[in-house]
Amino acid sequence: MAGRWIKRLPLSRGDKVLIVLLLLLGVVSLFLVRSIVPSGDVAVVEVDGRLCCRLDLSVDAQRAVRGPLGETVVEVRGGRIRIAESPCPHKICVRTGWIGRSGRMIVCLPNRVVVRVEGEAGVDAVSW
Amino acid sequence: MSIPMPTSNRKLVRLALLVSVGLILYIFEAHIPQPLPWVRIGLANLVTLLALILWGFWEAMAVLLLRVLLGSVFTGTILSPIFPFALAGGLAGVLIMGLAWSYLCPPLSVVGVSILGALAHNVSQLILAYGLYIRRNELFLLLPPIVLSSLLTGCVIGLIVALVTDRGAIRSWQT
Repeated sequence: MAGRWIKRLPLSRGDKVLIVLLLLLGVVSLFLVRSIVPSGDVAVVEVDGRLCCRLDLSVDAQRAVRGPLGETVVEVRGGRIRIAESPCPHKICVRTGWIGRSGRMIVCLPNRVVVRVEGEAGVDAVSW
Repeated sequence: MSIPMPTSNRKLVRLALLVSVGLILYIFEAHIPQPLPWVRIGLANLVTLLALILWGFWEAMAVLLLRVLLGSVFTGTILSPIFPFALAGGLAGVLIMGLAWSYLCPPLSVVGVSILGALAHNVSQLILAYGLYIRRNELFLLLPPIVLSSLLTGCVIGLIVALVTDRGAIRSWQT
């Protein structure tokens, strides 16, 4: 049943090869990135490219930072950090959710806020 | 190389119609909730791809440029930090889709072209974000999810275009 349905799709052989290749590439690199990157211990908060504060991820805290649009609230809990509140229109930063691994970041372009997790043996050692 | 002007009023109207349909899709998509913050289906890419298939690269480029420009006027993002992303993503997408359509299209079909376009769109935006706002290598940690989401959205758009051009009356538009 499913087989016949797939056959009816207007996919060429080349399409299927492309899809499988990209799927493999995506999934493999996803797991590679996950396993390479250790969890971080400090979060760096920047506003408009300037360092705003460094937050220790082992201490639960809330902090409000001022961007061009208003106050963005960052929250640290249980070794992870998130943007809890933001004045930006789409709330992409808020919906990014919690991050904890070294090198992960939350970016709020409208309010120019970047939250970045750093660790001892962080991504500094990887060259691209 | 000169950009060919629309050869007839009929074609002009059809190009304009594609632009307006693209605008509707673009604005519609800006209003529906996104399940994941970084994933957009890219519905407006439908019309760019249609123009590419029906007429060719320059027509697709014209439809894209008008759609991006008017779309950002109507959604209020023109001259905002979002605008260069919309433009760069669109240009990269139409460029790659044009090349793929011309040179890769016996092995690939519309769906493959659409996937490559989605990939070009998203990767170019990531590179632009790197160059313009966030000069950090860690940004490229976003590449794996971007590849996967491009695959999905490119497939959806490509399949829709394949169905439309296969069954729809739009096929007679070519002339």
